[in-house]
Amino acid sequence: MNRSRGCPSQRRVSHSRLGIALALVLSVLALLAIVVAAVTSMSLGSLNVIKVRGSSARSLYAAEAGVAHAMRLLINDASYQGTQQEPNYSETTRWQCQIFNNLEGSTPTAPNGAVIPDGMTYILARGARKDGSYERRVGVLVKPISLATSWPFAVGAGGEVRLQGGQKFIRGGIKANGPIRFTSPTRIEPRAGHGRVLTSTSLQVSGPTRMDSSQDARSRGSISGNIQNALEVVANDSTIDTEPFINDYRTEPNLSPSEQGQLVLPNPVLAQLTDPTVNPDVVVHTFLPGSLDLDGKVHYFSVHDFPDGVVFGNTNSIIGEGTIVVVGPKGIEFNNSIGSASDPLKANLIALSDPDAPGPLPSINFKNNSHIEGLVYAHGDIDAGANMTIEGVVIAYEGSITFGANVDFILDGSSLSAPGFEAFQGVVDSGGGPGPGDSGPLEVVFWQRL
Amino acid sequence: MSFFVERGGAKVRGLTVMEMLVAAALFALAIGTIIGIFPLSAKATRQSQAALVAATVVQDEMELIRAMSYEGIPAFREREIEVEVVFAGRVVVLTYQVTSRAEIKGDGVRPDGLKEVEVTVVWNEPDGKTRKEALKTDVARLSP
Repeated sequence: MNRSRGCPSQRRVSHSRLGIALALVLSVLALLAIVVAAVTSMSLGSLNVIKVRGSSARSLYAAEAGVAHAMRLLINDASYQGTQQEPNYSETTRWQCQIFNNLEGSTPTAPNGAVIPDGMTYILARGARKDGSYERRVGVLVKPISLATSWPFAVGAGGEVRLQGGQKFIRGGIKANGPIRFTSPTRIEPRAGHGRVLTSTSLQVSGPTRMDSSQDARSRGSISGNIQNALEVVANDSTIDTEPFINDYRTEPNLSPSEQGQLVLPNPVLAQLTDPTVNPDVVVHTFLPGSLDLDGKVHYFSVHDFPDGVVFGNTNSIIGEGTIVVVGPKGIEFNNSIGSASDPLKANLIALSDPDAPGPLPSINFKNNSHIEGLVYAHGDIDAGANMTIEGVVIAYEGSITFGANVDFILDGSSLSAPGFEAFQGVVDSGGGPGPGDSGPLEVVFWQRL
Repeated sequence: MSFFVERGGAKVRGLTVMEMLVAAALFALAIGTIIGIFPLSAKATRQSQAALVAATVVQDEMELIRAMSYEGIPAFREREIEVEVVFAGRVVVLTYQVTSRAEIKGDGVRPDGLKEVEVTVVWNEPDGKTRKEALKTDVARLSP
């Protein structure tokens, strides 16, 4: 056998090994390339996720801007329905919204199947990029509510508010045309979303005062002292929020164009509280009974029969629920405790001036610990030197509010549904709800990001 | 060319120098390319991690503002947020400047009682580039 050539089988084996190194290298490189491609793809994929998430979020908030727009239209006109859009909401997004109004029972279902109860309105908004991609939808059911339940201030005064002595706990907002003074430990918390401290004059804090971090304190003038934890404390404020209450004795909240944005301090229709021919629930008293059973009625004490005002002494008691109205310059005085934590007095206490006999403004004075659920309202001052718990609304129309002991004010705007204050409740007809063209606040029943 | 080398009378099978040189050159070229891609991929991962945190921060701030009452939404608010992120086994602190602006819309065309809220988050990449993420919405006052 010739060794230099090798036998045929050896030659086949040797020829089959040609280029094996290249093949091995290419195989390894192919594997590495696959690994690199996978890693790169994952990185690019996560960048893509960020991009999608960002676009989706921008579309969602554009849709919610559409909802806000629709809500304002409904606040201005509770019967509004139709379609609104803003194709250039931002550089990259647009929104469109449809308003389905079932105020009168004519539209019980929205096109997306949402059920619209009677008296409510459904807003369906869409937000997207301008090319229509990344669309997000929001569905919101709203209903108009009476103005009374949206009143934001536990304490409102045409004059000053002085909270001095004892511990003060205010759950709701405070607003005064005059100065607000906190000279004792005071805690202000929001209630039903309301908890602002607003004054058209000045705010003076000399006792430890703490607010919620979501609420602000604003003064048209100066602010002295320290309020802890508030979101903002703003002196020399020029926003509409520190414009004074309108307290020119109008009995309806209607605003002129120049007054838009200001708040009218509620003032009752006198006849609803004093004239049985206008309001059959009015009971006219010529003497003060030892035990006054309110029985759901309006108990009227006129200046003619009570020229020195009405004084509830230790021998007087008040039971049941209802309204007490005293007209005349001397107002109402409570020398005894009325109500308690376990049995609060559910009554509206109202002291009004006599339009036929101008004189000092009537006041309400509490000399003993009291617990009231209702409206405490005077054209003049409201004073208390004792511990007070009032769950409702306290309004001194032209006067000042001074509380010198422990106080717990809990805002309940529904107490403004007291007799005489109908115009401030947004009710315009016997149906009890807002009618076409009526304006009023909105309550969100549910808010769905679809 | 023969693929057989005679050593002591026996034939030894192997690879030639040329074959090895070509293979080594190809391998070096490919490895160099791959080594260049990995840092880019790592940078992309780092960027996407920072951007993901920014997206969360800006959305959280927007939700915080939306939870406030209409009156309570501040006209301007700025704060700095530091977030610790684990990247490649190391804890890295990312700093985000969060700014929110709220402006009452008053162009006379849209209904009144609307505040336009814009939240912006700004952060710096490790390479010094500044990036920004922003969200915008409107908030309505629910009373007349």
